Amino acid sequence: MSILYWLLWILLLFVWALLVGGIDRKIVAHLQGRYGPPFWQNITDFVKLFYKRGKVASRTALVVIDVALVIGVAAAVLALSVLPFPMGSGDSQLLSASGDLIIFAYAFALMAMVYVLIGFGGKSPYTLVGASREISMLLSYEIPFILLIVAMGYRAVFITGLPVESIFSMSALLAAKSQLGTLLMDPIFLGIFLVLLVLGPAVVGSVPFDIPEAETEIVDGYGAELHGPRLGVLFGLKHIKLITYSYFLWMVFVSPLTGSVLLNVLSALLGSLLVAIVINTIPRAVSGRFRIDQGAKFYLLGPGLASLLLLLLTLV
Amino acid sequence: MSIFKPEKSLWIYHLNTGSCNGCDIEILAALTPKYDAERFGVKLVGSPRHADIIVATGPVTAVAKESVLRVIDQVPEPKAIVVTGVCGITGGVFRGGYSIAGPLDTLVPVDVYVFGCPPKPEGIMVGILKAAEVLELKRKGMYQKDVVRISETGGVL
Repeated sequence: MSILYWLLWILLLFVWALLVGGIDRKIVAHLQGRYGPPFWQNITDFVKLFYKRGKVASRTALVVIDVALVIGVAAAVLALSVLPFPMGSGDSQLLSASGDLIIFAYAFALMAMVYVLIGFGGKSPYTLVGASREISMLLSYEIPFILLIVAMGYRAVFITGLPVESIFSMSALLAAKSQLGTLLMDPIFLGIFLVLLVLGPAVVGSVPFDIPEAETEIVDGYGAELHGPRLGVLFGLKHIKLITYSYFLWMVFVSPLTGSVLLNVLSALLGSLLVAIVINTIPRAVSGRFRIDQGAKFYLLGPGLASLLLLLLTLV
Repeated sequence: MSIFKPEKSLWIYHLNTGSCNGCDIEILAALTPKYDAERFGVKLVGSPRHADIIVATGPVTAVAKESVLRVIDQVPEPKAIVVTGVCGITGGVFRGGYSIAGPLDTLVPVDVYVFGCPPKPEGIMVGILKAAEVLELKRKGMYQKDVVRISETGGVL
């Protein structure tokens, strides 16, 4: 029964991801003094892409792209399966194991590798540049991300007093959350949350760190050769990546626990929208795109050093 | 339902075939806050493979001809082509010049003409919305090769 609820929840979350994309466009339009598209515009875009049929360049390695897209969908489902979902009792997970926090981080790196594979499968100069930029970004934000995951694991074990085997498990984090009310009450977790927010634009690939897809320079980067249904899957994957990351930040750090399933679902949806606005919409409305060297330097020096400091603080 | 109607999502690709930039800045003006073409679901995309509608400007110079044909070939079906400006429609003052290989409709079938030198953003927006009607006819298999003519202020001629 639990898996049925979970599948329902994944479908709801996917539709919500597309809606969040539309709300994002609407908010940016209003910030710029425009009326903007309807908030369901990204659902229309997604559906439309499945009607399109085009020619494929002979140099394109379609097998690589198809395999990459399947891996991407699988990674998104994997990431969502270890996150708590609000339809069960309290913060229940579909799959729970010691080390599922590492699985979550791995799924995110895998989703970035999917973009790299799509770029190398496209074999056009633009997609190759996009893929190499995606690797550069991955190397610069993945180091702070992994350090923060390790720090989170240590801190959760320290707070809850659980055995050290549960160091990288989501359940330890959830136990710490139920002990503190919300993880933001703890100064170290608050620091981790803020640095994860700063990492957000790079992880989900939004402005100012959408350097790998830069439409105006390298015609949408890694996805330039995709069209029709394949582009539709990539479009959906980008949205699900944004919502997964926002949902992770909301559910693990902030989300208040209530007894009612309906309230939990509402809190999860609205909370992930709020985090998505902070990490995606506002940076997009107020800034332009960075160069790749600026992006890499920023993440290694800013969040990189901050995450190292936070890890040291959790260890002492 | 209009949420699931493909013609409510119009991704346009801006193709300059040798224009003087007059029409190009008017296309960009149609996307700015004053005119805000995005409220109709219009989005400017970087790659022709993502596009539904090509908005072409310029008389197609001999040098650009091959690239123009390849770019148009890359756009997935159903697609529509909007030609903006007199140069793209007839060749304008460049018609018959030694370096001109166009106008565009002698090379590929064109769906919408927007007259003017340059046309106003209103005209370009009406052209894009007429192209959406062409896309719907193409999707339903009811397309007849009619060219829609739009005046520079947006009236249908």
